Amino acid sequence: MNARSNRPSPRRPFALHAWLPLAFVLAACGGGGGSSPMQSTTGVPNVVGLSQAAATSALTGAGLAVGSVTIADSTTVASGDVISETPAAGTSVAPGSSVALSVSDGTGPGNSLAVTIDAGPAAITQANQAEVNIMYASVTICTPGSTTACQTIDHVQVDTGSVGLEILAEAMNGSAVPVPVTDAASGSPVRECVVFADGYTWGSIATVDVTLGSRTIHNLPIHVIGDTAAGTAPTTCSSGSGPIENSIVQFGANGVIGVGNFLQDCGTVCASTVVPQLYYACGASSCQPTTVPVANQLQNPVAMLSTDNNGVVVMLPALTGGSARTVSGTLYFGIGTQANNALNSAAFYTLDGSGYLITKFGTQTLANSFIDSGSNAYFFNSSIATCTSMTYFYCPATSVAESATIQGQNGATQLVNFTIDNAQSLFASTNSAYANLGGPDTVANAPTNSFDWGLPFFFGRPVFVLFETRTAGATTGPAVGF
Amino acid sequence: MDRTQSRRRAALASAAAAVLLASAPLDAAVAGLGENAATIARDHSALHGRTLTVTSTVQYEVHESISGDGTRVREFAVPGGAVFAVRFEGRHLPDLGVLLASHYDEYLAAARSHRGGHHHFAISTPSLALEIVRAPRGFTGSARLPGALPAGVSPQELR
Repeated sequence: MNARSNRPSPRRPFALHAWLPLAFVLAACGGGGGSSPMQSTTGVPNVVGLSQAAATSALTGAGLAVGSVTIADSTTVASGDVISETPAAGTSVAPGSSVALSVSDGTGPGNSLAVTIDAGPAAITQANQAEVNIMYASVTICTPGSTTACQTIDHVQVDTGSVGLEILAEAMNGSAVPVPVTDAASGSPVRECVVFADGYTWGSIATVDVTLGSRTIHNLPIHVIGDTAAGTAPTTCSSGSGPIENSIVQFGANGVIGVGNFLQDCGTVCASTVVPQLYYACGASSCQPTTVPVANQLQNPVAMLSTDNNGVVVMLPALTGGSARTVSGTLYFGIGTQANNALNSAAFYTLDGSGYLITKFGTQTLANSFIDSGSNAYFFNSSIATCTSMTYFYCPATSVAESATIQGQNGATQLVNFTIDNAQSLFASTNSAYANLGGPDTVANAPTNSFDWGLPFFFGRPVFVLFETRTAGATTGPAVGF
Repeated sequence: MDRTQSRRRAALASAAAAVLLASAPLDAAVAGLGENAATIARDHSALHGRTLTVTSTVQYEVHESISGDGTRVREFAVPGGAVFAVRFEGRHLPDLGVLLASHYDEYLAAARSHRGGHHHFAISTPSLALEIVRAPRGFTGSARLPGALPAGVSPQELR
């Protein structure tokens, strides 16, 4: 049960290369505890909150020396000011003793992105519609190499059940100009057909510089959904794939940022095999399905960061009363790499190559189960009554308390309790977030063999998504921790 | 590698010929739910698959195919009769136009009004029960004609 990661030290180690006043810092490491023949002691002055220079003056003025100086993250103490001192203020020490300082860099570690759950982008609300249990973030895209030809796109869905950044052309104002990716063999532009359970999208693969919070990824291949250049989807994409979802209203978001367990949306399979309904090379007269090198596929954006790149943590609050109009949370980059993304008491449940773990629910053992922020409910196989109009949600007469056991491929297990409320009654409110929303994974017990732990699972518990081949503590991904 | 999606096109198309067929009329007589088991082999071709196994019980036959990327489709048919259920699992979503046949429009209409997210879809009507799960790297799903299951056959055994 390799299910625990090492806890990180609470402060980021002092990165020497990142700080120019190196000589100053090193010079501060001198001093010593020379003993006085008088055996007198000195009280350590309080220097917390002072600038490093003022603290140095205060300490030397008191007959003490400045010991080691550590630069640490803080968003509450101004850059260059002292966060803490060791020994603490008031401690009696021998004259000439050293006092170690922790000095603020004035910033947090920058490994986070704010997320919200609300009714959705303007195009949705203006159409008098409202999304349910969709987690969104704002993402900034720039023309590659530019810091000014940029646009911040709001209401991009944060999805742990897919991989890669997709933005609807309808949401782009032209400030950022993506650079088309071309097929090496033919020189033709590469386009992608992305098929979902309820329809499909079609558009170009192109690169942009992407900023998530304060972190930037250069030349990231993204899927531009419904761009003019891509034109109409070829019939081999659209045939039998359900309705097209190339507009914001159809798609339910301005885009999607897939931060699931894999490094690319397809991976090595698509580099060597033509997978139907995925990547195409589009010549002047037609689009042909094609193989695509791994580097040109949609990439997991967080895995492309230079640090904090082994996974993500989704942190959403518990919902008082089970629902909320809006919810604010955080997507952290990295697992166990900072104080804010520590695994703490959570355990990892490893996944197979398709991203599945196992759920035991009643007499069912469901081998194709997964935990997915991109699903808006618990979808599972039960005798609970479905709603009459929305047959994809449950509408029990009274709340139903359920429990199921999640089991990783590593054998780690955890019992999870959850509640299913009547969706029709829930939706009578103007809320957007519901902790007790469920729906049938299967109708009347047909064997899809799946338990889909959707967004309700994320409320009130941090969920860790460890990427394939990346490690956290003793665990190698793909794995989910909670 | 060709990835044409209907039997009509699979029957005609070679690797580079898809463009020639884009304007051909839609063939409504593709196999799938409610159609005769004799057409299943052609189904498998339309789905880029090759027939893997055919097994049978007293009550039904199971025709399984697998495509180049490992996607498996199982069709359940009354012996010598019609397909009453399908199940699929693998890297890509098989052509639902082929699998659902004349019931595809029902899926299309329901998907247009669907508000349950992109990763999960389920409908249940007297004429069609369908569920589709889009997992991180793959699809799984099943469909059946509720009124067409042979007597004594439960949906749970159609795996």
